Amino acid sequence: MERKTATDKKRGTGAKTNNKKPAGNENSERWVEFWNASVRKKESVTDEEQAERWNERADDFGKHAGSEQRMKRITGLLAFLKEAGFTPKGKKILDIGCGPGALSIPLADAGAEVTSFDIASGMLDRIRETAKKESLKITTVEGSWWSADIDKLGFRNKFDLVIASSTPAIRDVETFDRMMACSKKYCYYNGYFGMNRAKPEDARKSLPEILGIESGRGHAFGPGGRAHGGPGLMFAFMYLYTLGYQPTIKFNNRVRPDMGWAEAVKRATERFGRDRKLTPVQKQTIKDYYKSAAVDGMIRHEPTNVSGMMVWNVKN
Amino acid sequence: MAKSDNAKVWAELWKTSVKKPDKEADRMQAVRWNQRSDHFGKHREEDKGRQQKKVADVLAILKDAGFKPKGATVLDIGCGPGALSVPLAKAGAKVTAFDIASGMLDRLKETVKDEKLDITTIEGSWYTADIDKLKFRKKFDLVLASMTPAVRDLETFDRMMACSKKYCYYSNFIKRDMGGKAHMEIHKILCETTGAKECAPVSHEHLHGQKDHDHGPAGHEKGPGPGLVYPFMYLYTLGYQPVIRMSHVKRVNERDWEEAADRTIEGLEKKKPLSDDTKKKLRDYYKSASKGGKFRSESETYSGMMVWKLKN
Repeated sequence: MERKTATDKKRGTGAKTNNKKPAGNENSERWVEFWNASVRKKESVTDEEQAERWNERADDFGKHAGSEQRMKRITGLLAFLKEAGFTPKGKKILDIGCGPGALSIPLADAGAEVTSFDIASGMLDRIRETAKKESLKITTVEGSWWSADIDKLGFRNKFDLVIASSTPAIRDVETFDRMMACSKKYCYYNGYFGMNRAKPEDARKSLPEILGIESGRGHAFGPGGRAHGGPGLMFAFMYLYTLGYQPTIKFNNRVRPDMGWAEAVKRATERFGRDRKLTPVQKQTIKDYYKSAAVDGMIRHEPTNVSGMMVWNVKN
Repeated sequence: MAKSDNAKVWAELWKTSVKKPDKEADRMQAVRWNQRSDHFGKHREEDKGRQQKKVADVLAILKDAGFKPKGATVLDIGCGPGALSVPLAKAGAKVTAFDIASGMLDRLKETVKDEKLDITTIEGSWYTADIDKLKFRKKFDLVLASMTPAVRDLETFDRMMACSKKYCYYSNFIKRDMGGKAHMEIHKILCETTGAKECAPVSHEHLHGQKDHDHGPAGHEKGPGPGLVYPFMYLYTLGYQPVIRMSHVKRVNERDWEEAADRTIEGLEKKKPLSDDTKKKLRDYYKSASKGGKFRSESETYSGMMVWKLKN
């Protein structure tokens, strides 16, 4: 409260309008400079390249999660939204970077009218199939959020809830502001809060490094700019806070369960083999990697990937 | 300290993100800071205005948060030569100034004597401080940790909070880029010419007249993460809404290459004498790296300060 008063007084600004860019202040401007300086150059990937990447993955994307895991995620999300005052029934929702509909589908199922936006037609094909089969109110819109014209799309100030869940569609201040501008009430953002972690001197190289392959390519251009390591949530959260919002936030400590090394090999081989054909040497490398890393036959995963979700009311 | 699940998850991330404590490095802290205590925070004429503004900014944010110095008890952790202790005492506070380096405290004591201020100095390491023995627990109206490596992780942060009965102030870097190219070149020259097995990195202060915080809490650009974000998020998950100010300073420094070279050499020789060969190579570097006789160095710093009032 004190902070809000201080900023408003300083800038002489009143309540925020959600028709345009959020009214900034000196503090938020400093943070925006930091955010801008931390994001990779935009030219490094084009809309077309991004569409192609995601279309390549469209057939399988999101199919690895078990139904139980998916169910748990959705229940958690709905409870979180409810806590902030949002219930889906009869509401208009925009799901940016919806993918095959991991959130769009259950939200439509809960009674919302969902606009699902994605760069990859292949992902949207999958959603439409499901929507048809289950008679859900979902409209799909294909496009790149990076260059989206929300006035032409008729998105501005239109939705009760705008979602951006672990998507590279929101990659900087510009695309984040654009997301906010579409909402007349709530926004939901989910992203990694992963920090650059200093490795101890003797740390093993990561498996992708050893294999010489690029990892996390899907999100390599995500918020913060770095593959899965980009502290996207930090930038977005701090930006909101300096603007005077107090988002409800919940961290997710994704500790992967311990598993036998053979199981870890199986999973990694599948994971890395998804986007490329692994050579016998690479397969052997993966095997050796986990075998030597195992303690009493088990692989322990370190809890480094902390992600978080946050929800805020654009009018508060 | 961590009460909610959210705060626990965050605390866990913080814990796994900081460097493992290194006893030898901790012991060296006192040595390192004592080495620098003669010159630390002594500002060149051209920088004095900037330094005054910094202090004014700190006093302003404290005021915004509701803190009044007059008659208040203040603990200044990692006080150095007293950049904040002195103005706060002048404004009427009763200050306990805590630092690991006796050399810093000696300088502060001189100022205290000259200006008759209410400042008590205590020498110690915050990493191992027993706040009950020190009788610090819940004792101060304000506890400060300003740009100090003393508060570097969850443990030392909780310890800081435990000493306050009202306000806390914390500031740190978010990101800094001190123009690393010259730094590395000079490091290389020193390694080559002295043949040292382990070359101690040149401090930025020697090169640019700026402070070197490479042992700060997760604050260095090579460190595990932005120094302000961990403590801020920790507080937020605990239900605090700190008053916060961000700052972004970009500076370009241009001076005659000879002067720039001399400053570096002078700075390095405060530690140990350099051979003529090393000096020549350093001068050659500055000459070759300059344009039109001017050597240009750039630095860019993002930092933030925050104040919060403890819940009872």
